[in-house]
Amino acid sequence: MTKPETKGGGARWALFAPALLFAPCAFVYAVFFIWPQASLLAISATDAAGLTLAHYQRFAGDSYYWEILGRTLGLGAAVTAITLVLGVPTAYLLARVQSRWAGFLLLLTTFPLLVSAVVRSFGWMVLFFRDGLLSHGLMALGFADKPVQTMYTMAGVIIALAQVLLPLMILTLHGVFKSIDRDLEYAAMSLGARPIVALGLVTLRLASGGIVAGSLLVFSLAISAFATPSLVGGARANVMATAIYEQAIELLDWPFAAALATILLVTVLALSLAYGALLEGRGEREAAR
Amino acid sequence: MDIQLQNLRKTYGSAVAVADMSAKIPQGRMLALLGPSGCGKTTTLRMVAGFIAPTSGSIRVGATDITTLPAHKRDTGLVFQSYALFPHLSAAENIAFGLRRRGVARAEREQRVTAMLDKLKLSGLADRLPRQLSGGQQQRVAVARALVINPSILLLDEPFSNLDAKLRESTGLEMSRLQREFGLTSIFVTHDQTEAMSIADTIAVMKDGELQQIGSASEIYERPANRFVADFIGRANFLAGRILRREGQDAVAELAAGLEMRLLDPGAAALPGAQGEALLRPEAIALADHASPGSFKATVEQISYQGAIANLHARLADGSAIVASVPPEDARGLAPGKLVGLAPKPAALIWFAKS
Ligand SMILES: Nc1ncnc2c1ncn2[C@@H]1O[C@H](COP(=O)(O)OP(=O)(O)OP(=O)(O)O)[C@@H](O)[C@H]1O
Ligand SMILES: [Mg+2]
Repeated sequence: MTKPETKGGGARWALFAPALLFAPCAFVYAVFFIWPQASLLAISATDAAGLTLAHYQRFAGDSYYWEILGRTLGLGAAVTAITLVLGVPTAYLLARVQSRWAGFLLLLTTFPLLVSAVVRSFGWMVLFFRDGLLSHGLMALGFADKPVQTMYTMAGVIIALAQVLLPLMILTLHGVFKSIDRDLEYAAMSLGARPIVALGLVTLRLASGGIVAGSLLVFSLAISAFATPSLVGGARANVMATAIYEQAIELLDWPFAAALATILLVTVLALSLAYGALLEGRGEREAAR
Repeated sequence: MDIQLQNLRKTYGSAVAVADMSAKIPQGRMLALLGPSGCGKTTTLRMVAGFIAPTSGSIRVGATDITTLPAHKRDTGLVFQSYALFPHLSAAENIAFGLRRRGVARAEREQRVTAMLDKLKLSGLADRLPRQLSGGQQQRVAVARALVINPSILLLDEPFSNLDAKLRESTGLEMSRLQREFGLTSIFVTHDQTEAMSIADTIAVMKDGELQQIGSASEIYERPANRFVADFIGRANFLAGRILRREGQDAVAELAAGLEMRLLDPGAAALPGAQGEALLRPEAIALADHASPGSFKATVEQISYQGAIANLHARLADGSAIVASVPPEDARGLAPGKLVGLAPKPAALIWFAKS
């Protein structure tokens, strides 16, 4: 027989158990993420005289930095678009193929993740230099009549970064497509939808949440990438991450670097929230219909 | 339109999923594909639906060969085992999906969807998403979605397997009523023999991809083509034996170590000395006195009362087990350990030669 007191204690325990399980993670998160970000915010908004918006005003008043922010967002958009175009069909086929090689192929596509972005970017540098493979190839095929310089251009950064982030897009989308029952496509077809229509109306429609999530992941990683832009892009393809590095490490202007970092962070957060709201809103509309 | 499957075959590498399946389903009739798990029922159905390309053989609907026709042009209504309702569309939109694809105008579409919702008693649920419906309601939406397009063929892949026993029976009967009302030629996959017998006109029994027998429920039950069919459909006792002599068309065999029994028309292969087994259905056994001639002497082991009948589990002199279904009042007064006589009813024994 259980006494009422013991039962009450059990209920209280059941209430606290999740909080207790959550505590270690919350602690690490607070100490190593929230606190440093808060300090960053504090540094960016103070100077010798106390609170100030001077660093943000400096950013706002200088078109050079607006250009960097614009270039960074453009880079993110271009990389996201390329990884989507290449990733959606690849992930779909990998999720649908019946062959026993499917698992191996998926492993193969994610293999680049095991190699550091620095190493992969070096690989692209070899291809991109004026007398590199790409330049020679384009000339041999007659697409160019003089050596092509892809190194130290935005185009080079976009190509290299898309390659670096493509595996993440494929992995995310593969999971999404795998979770969509193939019978739904078959059902649509038996109701008279051509295969391509079934794909659009059912599979892609159901995968849209996952596609948005994958895009968001790639976009955030692209606009905060450092190794690839600094190696492949150099000074001519300055983006937010490299600008922050320049301010903090080379010019030792910590407050301004912190302001740039905060602006980047806020941009990513705002975009995430906007996407989230977009998804949520659609979900509610559907339920209400 | 009638459906004709001719030597339909599907192999995956060296594995044979369906081997030489042939069947003809007349207009407006229902064929049940019946068999144990993995025997190739779903594969056969999906070849008819157009999702799996046959390795060889052909499928005809009416006069047209549809073997290579893509799925969306086949005009089939399909109800999946898992229903496969579109999770992002409401019940009404799910049902309207096929009509939209066929370009049916809005007014007619709405009227047909409403009529179908009424027919399947879903009227109040039109705006619910599939996840807001119970299993039985989802199943009815799936059926409505398949019927509303007026398909020439209706295909059902174990559509009732997720329902509880009671709902299953009533939905099954409702389904076969609708199928007859719409005059649909249909194929129905199941591994439940009672379900197959109660709603299909013809039953095809399959095993390991091979068709074992095709015929009406009574043909398959009363004249099973082989031991597998006899065992799979209903309950069966098999009594090992040997043919003693022929008597014209008939033969006399010695069964279960001792008793001589007459077999009606056991086939030409049942020559004296041939070994084999005789099928004896539990309900074709009557209780008799243990000393009466023409009955098996058996020791009662267990009596299970089923309501309408009582199942008597007993053991014969040679040690083999036997089950007899008898009226409960006959079993009254029996107890484990008691000696009884089990008398096969006339013409109840069916001979299967040892292969
Ligand atoms: N894509 C495939 N690759 C290889 N073998 C397959 C494939 N699909 C089915 N099979 C095999 O074909 C056989 C028949 O499968 P099928 O799904 O038709 O069985 P079923 O009769 O519907 O069984 P269940 O009652 O369990 O649904 C099985 O042995 C199965 O393992
Ligand atoms: Mg199956």
